[in-house]
Amino acid sequence: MASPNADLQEKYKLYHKFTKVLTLKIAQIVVQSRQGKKITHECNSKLPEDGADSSPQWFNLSIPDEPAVTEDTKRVLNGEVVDALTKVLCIEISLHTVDGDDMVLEIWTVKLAPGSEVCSPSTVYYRMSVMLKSALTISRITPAYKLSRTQHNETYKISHKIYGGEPDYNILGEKRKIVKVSELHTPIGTLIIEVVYRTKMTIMPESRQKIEQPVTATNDIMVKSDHFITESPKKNRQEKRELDLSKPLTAGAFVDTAKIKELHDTLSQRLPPEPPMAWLLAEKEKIENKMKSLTTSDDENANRPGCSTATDTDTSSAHAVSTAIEVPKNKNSEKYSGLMEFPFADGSPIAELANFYQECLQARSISEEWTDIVIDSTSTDSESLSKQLKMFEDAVPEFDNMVASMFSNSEAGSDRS
Amino acid sequence: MNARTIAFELSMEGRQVDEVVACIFHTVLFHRSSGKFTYNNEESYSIRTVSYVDVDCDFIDFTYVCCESDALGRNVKREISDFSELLRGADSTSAPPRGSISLEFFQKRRARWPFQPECVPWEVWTVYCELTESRNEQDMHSKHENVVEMLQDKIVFITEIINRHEYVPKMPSRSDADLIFDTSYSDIQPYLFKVHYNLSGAPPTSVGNTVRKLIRDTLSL
Repeated sequence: MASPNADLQEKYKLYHKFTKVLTLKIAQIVVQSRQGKKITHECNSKLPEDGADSSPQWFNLSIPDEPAVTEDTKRVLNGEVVDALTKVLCIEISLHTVDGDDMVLEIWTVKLAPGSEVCSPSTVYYRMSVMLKSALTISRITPAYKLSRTQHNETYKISHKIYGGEPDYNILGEKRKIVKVSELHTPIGTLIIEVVYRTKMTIMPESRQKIEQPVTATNDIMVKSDHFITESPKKNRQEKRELDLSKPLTAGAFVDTAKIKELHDTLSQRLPPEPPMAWLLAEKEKIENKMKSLTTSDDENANRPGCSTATDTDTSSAHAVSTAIEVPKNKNSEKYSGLMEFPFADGSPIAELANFYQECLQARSISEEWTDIVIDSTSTDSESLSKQLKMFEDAVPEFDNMVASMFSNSEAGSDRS
Repeated sequence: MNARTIAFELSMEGRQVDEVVACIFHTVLFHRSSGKFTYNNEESYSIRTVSYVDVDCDFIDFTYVCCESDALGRNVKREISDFSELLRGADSTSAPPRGSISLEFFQKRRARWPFQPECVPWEVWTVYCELTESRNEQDMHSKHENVVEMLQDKIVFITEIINRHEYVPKMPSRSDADLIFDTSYSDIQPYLFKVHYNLSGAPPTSVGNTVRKLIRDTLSL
């Protein structure tokens, strides 16, 4: 009597077939729900008609098939549904930003655990359709669904990966949530569909390396390679402008950090230890002193040319006070000027700092020249001026004679005319 | 027979009532509907495909899946709107308005003439709604998030209950199909269901209602 055995084998074939199609459909549901589309009446009407006459769709649900997803899933199943599902089939959904950051959002798993229950193929078929409905329902409530509906090429994109083997849930960060979508006891084992999703939506730099781990662990991975988008520099700049200036600035590429430190030390040595902005008061005082000394020295010089040395000492003392706020000397600044150039850093705080530094340097050199002129004029010009004045005063009679002679000449000329 | 009863308690703003209830009811109905049956003979039948659509809510940040059937959508919407209007129009001076709405699945049992078929509920989903008012923008925002989180939990719970595969009526033969399924829709075949609601906040006594209706129907003959 071979017929009961053959019958049983037929049934098992059927269960395997159901399980295989169920797995394919789960992959379709998950992947399609992450493509950012909304299923509407219009999408459904585009689907091929399957009335009562034509063959109805599997599990009486209109889940369209995307060939690429079916192919990926079949490759993992490898013709051995029970084997593949015992090892766990994973559908990993991840997010890629335009900055090149990756984040795994959720992992859906389909697995076959030991523990079977006798039930008819029609019951299994009906319950599997309920399983698919639950997967559809749950796929709309995890954070990845909202993210995928709002995905845009210029911000981030969602991609998927289908592979076999135990998933590494650590890549979903802390406080991940687990939802059991469905569990079904069948004669070939207990089918379990689960989704574990991330709740902490911050991108960690180390997460990128971890994503790669399962790739090396198994050979069954298919990576969708068409989801990585070229970087948008416009967006980048916007984000970098929001740097906090109260935090230490980070050095750019090719910058010798040792030299930066040296420059920093030199600057800090030259900065006064007073409370912030106190140097402004000192500067004001210095200017006032200078102005006063200039006016008085002019007056004094007019009368007493010999006292120019006293004003000299005054100005030099004022000059000594001002050194407290000075930036490095010109020769030093040349040494550091190379460090203060930041190519490609237009608009960033570090470039602004560099501009400010350059302005300070130039401002200082101008003011120094100006002071030198003033000092020269007070010490030398006023002296020669007084000498000239004395000379001209001595020559006054000579001028008087000349004017008188010119006057008489003109009178004689007018008579003649 | 005792019906399986599942109750949810949710507080929400008046304008969110329709969508919160619709999310829950449509999720249940999606699981509890099949494609149209076409009987080849008394026992054998083929089932047509169920289409579904995504529904984005306007007053909550939520999307749910729902069977694609205009007629079913309209019927459920009408019941929910009536309840929502009643609840929102309730006196809120002393206490926040409360009400409950139930989605009851039942099967009919043939009775001897002259009695009408007996309606026996086998699963009842009840949503207890309490209306809240937000004090300010921030309060509104946090309440809105709460509603979304609660709904997510409820949706997971619904799938959990349905996947336990506890009692559901057996697939009927052609002559009994109307006792189990609502065959009035052209594009879908849900299990027989009805929606009822009241405002007191007390659970609606579905079996009692059925018995009362049965007596009334009998007397009216």
